[in-house]
Amino acid sequence: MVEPKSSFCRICEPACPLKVHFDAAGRPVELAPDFDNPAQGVACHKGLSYLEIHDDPDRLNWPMKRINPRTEERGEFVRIGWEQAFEEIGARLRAIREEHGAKSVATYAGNPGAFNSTWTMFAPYLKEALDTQFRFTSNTQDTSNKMATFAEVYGSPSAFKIPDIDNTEFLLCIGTNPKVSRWTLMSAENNWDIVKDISRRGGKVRFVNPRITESSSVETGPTLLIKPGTDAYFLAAMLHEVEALNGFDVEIVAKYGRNVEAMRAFVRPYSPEVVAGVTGLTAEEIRTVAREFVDAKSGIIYMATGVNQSRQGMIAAWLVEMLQFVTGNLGRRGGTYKPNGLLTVCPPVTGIDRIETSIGTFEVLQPGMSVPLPANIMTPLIANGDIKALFVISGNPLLTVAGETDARRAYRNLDLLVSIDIFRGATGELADYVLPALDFLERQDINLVGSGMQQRPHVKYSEAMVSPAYERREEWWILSRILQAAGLNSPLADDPDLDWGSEAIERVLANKDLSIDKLRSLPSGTALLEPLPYDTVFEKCLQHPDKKIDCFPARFVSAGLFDRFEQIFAELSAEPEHVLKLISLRTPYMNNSWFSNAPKFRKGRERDNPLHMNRADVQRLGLVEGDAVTMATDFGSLETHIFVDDSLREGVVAMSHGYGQARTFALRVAQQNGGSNCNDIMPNGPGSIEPLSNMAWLSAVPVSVMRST
Amino acid sequence: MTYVIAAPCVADYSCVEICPVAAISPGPEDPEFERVEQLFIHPDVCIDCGACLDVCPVSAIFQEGSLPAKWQHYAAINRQYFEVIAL
Repeated sequence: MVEPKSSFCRICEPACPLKVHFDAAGRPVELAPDFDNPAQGVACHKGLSYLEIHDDPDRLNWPMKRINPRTEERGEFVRIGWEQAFEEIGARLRAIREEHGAKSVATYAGNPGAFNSTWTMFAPYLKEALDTQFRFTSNTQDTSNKMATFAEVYGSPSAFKIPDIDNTEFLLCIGTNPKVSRWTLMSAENNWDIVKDISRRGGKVRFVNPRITESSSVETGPTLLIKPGTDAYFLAAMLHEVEALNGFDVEIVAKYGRNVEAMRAFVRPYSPEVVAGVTGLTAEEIRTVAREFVDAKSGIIYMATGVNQSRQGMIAAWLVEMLQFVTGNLGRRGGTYKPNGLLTVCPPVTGIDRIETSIGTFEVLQPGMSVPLPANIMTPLIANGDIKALFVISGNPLLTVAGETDARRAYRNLDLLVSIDIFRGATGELADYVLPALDFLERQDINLVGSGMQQRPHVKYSEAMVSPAYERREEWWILSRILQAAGLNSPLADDPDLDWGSEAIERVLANKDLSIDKLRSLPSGTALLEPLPYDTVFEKCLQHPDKKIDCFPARFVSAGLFDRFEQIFAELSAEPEHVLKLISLRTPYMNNSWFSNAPKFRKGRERDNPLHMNRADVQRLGLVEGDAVTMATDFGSLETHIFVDDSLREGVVAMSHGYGQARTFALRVAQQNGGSNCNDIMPNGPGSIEPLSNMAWLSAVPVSVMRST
Repeated sequence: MTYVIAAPCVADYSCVEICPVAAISPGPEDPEFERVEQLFIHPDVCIDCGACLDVCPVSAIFQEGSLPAKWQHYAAINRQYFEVIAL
């Protein structure tokens, strides 16, 4: 009899506790919720279904080498040993650096790495050792606008705060569907009752979204069906109205604010009446929400991915911060605050690196990489030869970055493409080498990513639940060996047996006088951290030298964000009727492009990703459900079929991403199930990027839809 | 909080297959399956993940608090099925 062990999920931010059950041979056979974890949280079906990924027969087991040219879509791969892999990759990396310089090497790290603490801690080491600025992550596809905004407003890109949902009287969720996607940049237990409880105790919950999502119900609250990509104007009108209602906390604003008058002046023209047409909301609806927010003893405006991706994520994020701050809801019980965590330091901005490329100069804030270079410039930089070698670590940029068609062509130019992953995905199919990494049941970990963003601050440790099968290895080890083979700095250079992962975990745990042994001795491997006072946020997050909150940042002005806000307003005001806008649809059966190969989730209507469209638009276009259609943007077109969905506002179409894998030959379920990659036709290249944040434009994109010919 | 299966159920059992905690009964292998007119969600086992919601071909599944007025009584019907089984 093998006793069940405590672990935790590493698919998304809450890191929900899991109980892993084993067979007599010690193989994990069932993942169940761990109801006894002191930090609470009940894992959802994604984490509980992770064995679909762990046991997937299409997992990568050995280092593989492509032996045919990348011009051929289907790779011919042969199994090689680790030593051969390191020798060959090391030699090629060394040669590329000698011929083209260190700057010709790029890395791209996907979102799974965020939930892998040893990789997260190794990433800065890798950057240092490779000495390259071409370091890309998925941040510029989902959330870098927030970090870039925090840098300007608070002086630190890490000034993360979370909503105090347990104690608030008012919650406004904008461009987010937390029932399905959980919360982001907030690590909250998977318990939807925390939102329903706001209504039960007499508070109000409101949603602003182009779609009535699963989160909005009679038990939570209604949705204001906004036009996609207009949230920033709604927020400007909110701030305008809060001022009109004398909703400013004068004392707090005077104590911590700077450039307050410029901020007031900016929103003054944007009354509810002025933005009504563009947002598709009535002035009265906007006014009512503003009044509810002002009248509540405490309130939260929570904005997430849908807005981040809609071209003006920075202005929207800035307005959200301003609304919280000026109403006194920053650092207040029931507002937003800075929780305790393993790491609660918010490092100040130390400078700006200017990176010269063949397509222009790009800026990256220092320190850290929370606002990296835009992933949208990878393709042109590869096409132009700026980038000669690309290392992809648990990422799939070919599918998830805008413009797959161009990327496929450009990637042929690479002298070296290495994919380190648990699968040979679409990007891996084009790689010269695909190297097998570990899944979360095969590695030890702590819940580092949610640290300082948790509703119930805690640290938990999970040992590896099962020894890695075949020749799978951890990312830090694989990359250290590659560095070593290329003659670069490597943690393994002096001690080939070094357990760098354990040492890195111990180092960070020591911040709170914890250790792996200490956590192992606690129930569910979990240590609860003392809560911090709500107003700690002012001490921790205010990192400008004057310790103020910048309400009208100069770099917003110099980067043209405010001018752009006005131009886009004029553009939207003049937009003809019936322009369809595509938004990103999140379902419970996919997580980014994870689970695309999990048979359990790819059944029935979840096999592919039809285009969701409101019935009125379907009729106006003379279509019926199931019709094959062509959807086009200025950047390309794709084939899909219609799914009638009245949860959408008229004029809005929605599609999930992670599909369209007909050329991902090593993922047999995903490959067979069809669908289309909507990212292929998203705006791409340098013009598609929001200034300062480097965010891609992946939602609220104008499209045309017509019956396929 | 729990999900509830209401009147439209046609015992298609897609929900049984996707439920990560085996909260939905009876499954196709269960002898009861031939006798029941619908499937039921055990309110004390359900973890509120919502995975069953969209796989239902007839939209028979609701969050308990969002049941349409005409099907409010299905929360009790779901619960009672398991109380009877337990006897």
